Amino acid sequence: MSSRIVETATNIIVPFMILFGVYIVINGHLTPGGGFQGGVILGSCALLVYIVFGAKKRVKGISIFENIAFSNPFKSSQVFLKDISILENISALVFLFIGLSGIILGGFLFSNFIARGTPGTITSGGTIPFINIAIGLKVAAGFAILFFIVLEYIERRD
Amino acid sequence: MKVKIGFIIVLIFGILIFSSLRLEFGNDVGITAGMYIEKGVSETGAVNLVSSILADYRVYDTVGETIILFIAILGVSMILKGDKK
Repeated sequence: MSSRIVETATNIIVPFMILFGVYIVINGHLTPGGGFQGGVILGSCALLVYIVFGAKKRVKGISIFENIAFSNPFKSSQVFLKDISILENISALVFLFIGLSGIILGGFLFSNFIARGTPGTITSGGTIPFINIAIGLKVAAGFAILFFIVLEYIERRD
Repeated sequence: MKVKIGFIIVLIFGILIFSSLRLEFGNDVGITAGMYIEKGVSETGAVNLVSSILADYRVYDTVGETIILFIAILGVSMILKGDKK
């Protein structure tokens, strides 16, 4: 589908993109960014891989991205779609669970019930980092599903 | 026809520019925004004010956004996903 140069460059770039996305999500309460922005970066990693390698085609060369991040998405496209759908649902449920546990521990829905910590450190912010991580996973999985379904539709139609 | 469209475009831009000249920028931030700026860091502990508003003060808005994204994915997968036979 694509040339060897593009495939090699993708294998090199994608781990750094994932690292950058995770950094944006985890440092969402300290630096500009947050769950949505980092999640979109992680989802665009999936889009890059789909465009370069194809949504269905099995690729022989093993990249770091295939093995670590998405647990070999080309093994079987339907299995991968199922896995990532479960990830999306679980992260949405975690997000709502944080809000519901705020009722018990803080008195009202989505109350910030964890200790604030000193502002500026990674452990500050109470529930904000956890909400950011849940939203980041949900947005990343959602965009991956979206791109996957659309590209699979295009491949099937051709 | 082209003259009419051009006239309408010039009219709209004129109205926008004329009305934007009368706006006053940066004078009053309002009670709520002032409270966020003053107490945001001490109340939420997050240095990033945008994140503290999105994930603490206005978190219902974020819940709605995630539900919108979920429904969008649901619709796309219902329309475009192939039949299993």
